[in-house]
Amino acid sequence: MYLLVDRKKHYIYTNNIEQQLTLTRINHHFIFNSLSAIQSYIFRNDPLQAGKYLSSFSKLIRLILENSKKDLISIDSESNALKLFLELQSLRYEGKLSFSITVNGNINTSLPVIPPFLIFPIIENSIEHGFIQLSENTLINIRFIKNDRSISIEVENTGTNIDKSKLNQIYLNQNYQNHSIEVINERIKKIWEISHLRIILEQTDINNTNTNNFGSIIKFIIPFNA
Amino acid sequence: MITAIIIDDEVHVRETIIHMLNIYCPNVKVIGQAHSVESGYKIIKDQNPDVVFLDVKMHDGTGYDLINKFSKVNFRFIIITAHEEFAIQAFKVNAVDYILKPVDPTDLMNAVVKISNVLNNNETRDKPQQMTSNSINLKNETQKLVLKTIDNVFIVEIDEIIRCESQNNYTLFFIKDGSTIKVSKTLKEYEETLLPYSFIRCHQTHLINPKYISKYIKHPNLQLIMINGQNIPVSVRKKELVESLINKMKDQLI
Repeated sequence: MYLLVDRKKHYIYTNNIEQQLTLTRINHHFIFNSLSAIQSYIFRNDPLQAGKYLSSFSKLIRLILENSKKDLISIDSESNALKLFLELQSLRYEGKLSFSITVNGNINTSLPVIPPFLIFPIIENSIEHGFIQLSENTLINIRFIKNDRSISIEVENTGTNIDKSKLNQIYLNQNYQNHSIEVINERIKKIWEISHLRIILEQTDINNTNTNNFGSIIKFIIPFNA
Repeated sequence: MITAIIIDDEVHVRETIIHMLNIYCPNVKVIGQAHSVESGYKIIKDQNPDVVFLDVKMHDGTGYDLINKFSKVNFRFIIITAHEEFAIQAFKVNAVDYILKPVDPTDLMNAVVKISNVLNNNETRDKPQQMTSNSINLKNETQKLVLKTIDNVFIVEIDEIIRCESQNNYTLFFIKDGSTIKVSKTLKEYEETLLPYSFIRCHQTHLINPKYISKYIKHPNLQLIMINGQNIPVSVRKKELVESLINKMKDQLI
């Protein structure tokens, strides 16, 4: 692996095959699931929706292919990919998945500042192993926040009005996010080894027994010198 | 008419399969659907379908968990999944077939043809078969074996296997069509699987399908010649076993 690190600019030229492999591993099931959702619109005789989601799908695949080659990408590019991904996912769970993506603070969203697809495992896990079948609605709120010397990304995943008797299905193996956190920690370690960019991960559980809303907030803090 | 139940946690997948069955397999009648292991178990018990189209990953467990809930499985099932790697498991739990998502109409039609064949061959449907995880269904004549290599997953009919040869921790399969498949499992493991199909371990490194023996040589060394011309040594300790098998074969036309 050949590295040339210019830390001021946060540009890292690497031959980072491993990152590309990780990305492929993360993404491959959603491809078939999305295509299968698009197929359903075709058989329902709804060419407008089928066409719309087919083009979202190709945009997302194009972004994944482009961004996989890069070490850092812009907030614009990441939130664009997230939006397309979540739109396709909400198609699979009609009406049961809502999401929002916001950017807070004065950030130039076109600067390459974050490693591509860093938070995807959390999002995927929230959908695959989260609250979709157990709650009225699953919310995923993603916030990009500009701090003094860092950028944080918060992923808040909650299920509303969850039947408490079913809650232990999720917490059966400790926390439902554990698997994705493992994957991410591995990635963070590699990013540190390659580029000396130290990303910090924080996790808070949401446990509102009054409203029966449950979930978690996972926060990524990425150093940034503006 | 074949009665069917569809179990998948995504509503659009269930709808697509219903649409496709209507178009491509008009002999199948969908009598119910479910979105989880729990509700699926209940509807199968209530409706007693001929076939179940079954998803693997659901929120309260897997399709395999659902199958294992039944002590007697008196319906057939087809696994439907976006995960290719589940194919191996599908055959272990005796699925008739598996289909990958998004569903290909040809795959669906082929699976339904298999289902009708199985149902026609087995008119004693009210005599439920005991099928548990990992068990082998001896009645089914075209029983298949899944062989996984580094690059591919092969599904071969057990009847088509001429012989297996041990190569350290690998097993080399010789198939009737002349191909060979090398799998990283020991011959011992396959011996256990294949003995019920009257395969014999005639030598430490050889497991053979007696169906394909063409000649038995006694001198100077004990050997079997297989239909593909290959010589297989017989160990002295296995002489009796092999000869008793050949004697048995003498009495019948095979």
